[in-house]
Amino acid sequence: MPDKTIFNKSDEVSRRQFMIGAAKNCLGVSVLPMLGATVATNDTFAAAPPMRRGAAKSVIFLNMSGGMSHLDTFDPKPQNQEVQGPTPVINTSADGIQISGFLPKTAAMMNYITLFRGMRTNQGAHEQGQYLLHRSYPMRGTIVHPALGAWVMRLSGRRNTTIPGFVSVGGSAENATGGFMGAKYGGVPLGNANDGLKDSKRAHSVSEPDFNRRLELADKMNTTFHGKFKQKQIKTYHGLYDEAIKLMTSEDLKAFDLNHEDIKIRDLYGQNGFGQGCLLARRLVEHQVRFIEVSMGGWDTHNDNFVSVESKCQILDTALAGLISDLERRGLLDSTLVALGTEFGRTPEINDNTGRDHFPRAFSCLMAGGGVKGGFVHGETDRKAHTVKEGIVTPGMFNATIGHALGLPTEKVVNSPSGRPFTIGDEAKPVKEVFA
Amino acid sequence: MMLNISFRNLSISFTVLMCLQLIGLGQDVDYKKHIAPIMASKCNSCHTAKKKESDKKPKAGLVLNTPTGIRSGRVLEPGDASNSELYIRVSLPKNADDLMPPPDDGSPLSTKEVALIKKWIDDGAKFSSGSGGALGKIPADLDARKVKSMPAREPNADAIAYLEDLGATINPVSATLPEYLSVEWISTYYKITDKEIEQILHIAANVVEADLSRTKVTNEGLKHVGKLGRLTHLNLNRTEIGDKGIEALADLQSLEWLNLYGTKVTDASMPIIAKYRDLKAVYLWNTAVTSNGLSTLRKALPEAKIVRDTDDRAGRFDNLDDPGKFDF
Repeated sequence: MPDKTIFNKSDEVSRRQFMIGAAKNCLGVSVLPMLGATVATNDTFAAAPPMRRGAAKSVIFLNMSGGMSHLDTFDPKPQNQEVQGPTPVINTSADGIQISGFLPKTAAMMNYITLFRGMRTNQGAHEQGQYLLHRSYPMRGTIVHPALGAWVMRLSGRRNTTIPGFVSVGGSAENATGGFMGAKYGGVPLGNANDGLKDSKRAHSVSEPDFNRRLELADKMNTTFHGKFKQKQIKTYHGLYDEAIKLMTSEDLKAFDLNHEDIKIRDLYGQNGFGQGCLLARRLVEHQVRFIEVSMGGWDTHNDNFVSVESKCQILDTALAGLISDLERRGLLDSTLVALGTEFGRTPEINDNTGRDHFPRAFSCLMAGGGVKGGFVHGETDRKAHTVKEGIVTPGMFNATIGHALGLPTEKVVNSPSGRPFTIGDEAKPVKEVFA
Repeated sequence: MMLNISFRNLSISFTVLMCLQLIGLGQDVDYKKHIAPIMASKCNSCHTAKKKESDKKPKAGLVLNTPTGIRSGRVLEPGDASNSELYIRVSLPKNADDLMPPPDDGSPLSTKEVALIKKWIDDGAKFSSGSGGALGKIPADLDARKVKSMPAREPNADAIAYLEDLGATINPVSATLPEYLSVEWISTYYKITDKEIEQILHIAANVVEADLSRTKVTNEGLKHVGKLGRLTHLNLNRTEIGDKGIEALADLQSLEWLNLYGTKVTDASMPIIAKYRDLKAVYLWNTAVTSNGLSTLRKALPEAKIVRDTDDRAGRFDNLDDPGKFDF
C-alpha cells in the first residue's frame, strides 16, 4: 500500500533526481537548471516597488575572476614608471580621468562610469576573495552565505515571473548559490552564452501532438496521485512542470537565444564568450531579469602580466563599451546598473617573471548606469597604487551600494535557519556619494 | 486508508456540487462580493500586507487581502482550481497538516465557501467583474488638461484589478507616493492592442509612467495615451507608431523621458517633441530622424539628453569601432 511518508523520508536530492528522470522520460525535456530559481518564491516581498525614484531595476555584474591588475586597467600611475611598467596611459571622455591605454573604447565611455579606486579586501587567495566579493562575508566552515543575486531575489523578487530572475553566465556555479536562503533564491548558471537555456525546447524526436498527448497522460496519472497525496511538496513538483511548460511556450524564452541578434550587434560586443555573455545579459534585462552575472577569468597574471593583461583588456574593452553604449541607445542604461568587480588587485612591484602577484590592499572596481554619476572617481590610492589614501570601499560596501541602487533595504536582516542575522553587505553602508 | 481518502474526496466533491447548485451554477462568482469577504473572515488575520513598520509580517510572506498580493503569492492557477494552492490548502482533509486555516487556530472554511473559491478559480480567478463594465464609462471628453487638474487620490482598486486581469503590471513608482503608478506589460506585451491600452484611462489621474514597448499600439491608440496628462515617462520603443501618433501626444507637457527607438517617427515629429519643456531624455535610435531633425531638437532643448545611436554633443558613440579617431 503506498504510504505518503515515503515522500517525506526521501531527501531533497533524491526527489530531485526522481524529477529529472521523470521529466526526461515522460516529456522528452529537461529544464532542471531552472528548478531552484523558478519554483515558488512565497516569502519575498512580492514585487516591492523601488523605494527611491530613478532607482535601477536590473543589475549586470561583471566578475573579473583571478584578480584584475588595477595599475594596468583603471588606476594607472604614469608619473611612476617603476610601478607602471610598459602599460600606456590615455585620457578619457571625462576631464581629468586617465585609464590604461589597453582600454580605449572604455575611455570613450568614461562619461557614464564611476570608478572605485579605493577598493580593499582582507582576502588574498582566489577562492576566499571571490567568496567575499560575491557574498560580503568571509568563508566559514559552518555556513554557506547566499550570493548577491540571491539577496536581490530575496529582497525584491522577480519582475518577470515567467523566467528566472537571477542568471549567471560563465564562471563557477558557486557564484549563483542561494546559500542558506535555499535553492529557490539561487541563480541559473549558464556555461556558455551561445548555448542559451539548455534543454528548454521540445526534443526533435517528439512531435507537438505527441508532446501534448504525453502531457495529458502525465496529467491523468498525476490526478490520481495528487488525489491520494495532497501534500505541499508534491504540489511543488507539479508546479515545476507548469513552470517548465509556461517557459517552453513563452515569448520570453527568445531572450536566451542570441541567434535573434544581428551580426553587427554581436560584433559590437566581441565574438567571444565574455562579449556574447554581455549581449545575453542585455537581452535578459530587456525581459526584466533582475540580476545577471557575467564572468571572465584569466586575470591571474603572475607571469607576463603586460602581455596577458593587454589581451584580456581587448576582450573586456569591447564588451564593456559595447554593453554601455547598447544599453544607452535603447534607453536602458538609466534603469540598469552595470557593476564590474574583482577579488583583489595586483602588486605595484613587478616580479621577476614580468608579472604581478596578489594584492588585496588596494584595487579598482567600477559602476555605470543605474543612477550612478558619470565621469566620477571615488577613492584614491597613493602615488605607487600601494595603499588607499581615501575612500576605502570593501566588497560589503560595494554590494550594499548595488543594493541601494536597486532601492533595496540594505539594513534588512535576514536570519539563517540557525537564527544568525545577516544583511546584504555584512552591515556595511552603501556609498551614497556615487549616485547622481 | 486509501478507501478512507477516496470516500472523503467523493463526499467533498458531492457537497461541492450541491453547493454550486445552491448558489446557482449559472451565477458568476465575483471577487469583491464573494471571495474578498471569505478572505477577510478566514485568512486575513494572518495574511495581510504590512501598512506600517510595526505591523506584524504576513505569514509565509503571503498577502491575501489585496488582488496584487493574491496574484503575486503564486497560489493561483487561473482556470484550474485543483492545481491552485489557494483551493488545495482550504480543501484538504480535516486532519491534514497543511490545511488552512490551521485546524488549531481558526475555523475551517465552510463547504459553501470552498465551493465558491473553486468556482471562482475555475472561471479564471478574475479580480474585476470581467468586462470592466462596473467601472463605468471612460468620459468621451477626457483630455490631458482635465486629467492633470484631477486630484490624484488613491487609485481605483477595481480598475487596477481589471488592468491586471488584462496582463498589466501596475506598481506605485515609489513606496512614498502610492497614488502615482507605473503601468507596464511584462511577458504579455505581444498580445496588447489599442483596446487594452485604452483601459489605462480608468486610472488616468494616477498614471505617471507607461511602458508600451513592443506592444501592438498604433497611432490611433496613442490618442488614448495623449490624454494621460500626468505622464512623465513614456516608452514606445519597437512599436509601429509614427508621426501621426506623436501628434496625438502634443498635450503631454509633463513628459521627462520619452523612448521612441525602433519606431517610424521622422523629423516631422521633432517640433512637437521640442515643445516638451521638461524633457530630460529622448531616445531616437533606429528611426528615420536625420541630423537636421536632431539639431531642431537640440536648439529647443539644450539641456536634454538626445540619443540617436550617437550623442552628438559628447561625440560618444560615433567612433566606437575606431577609437583612434578620438581626440583626447
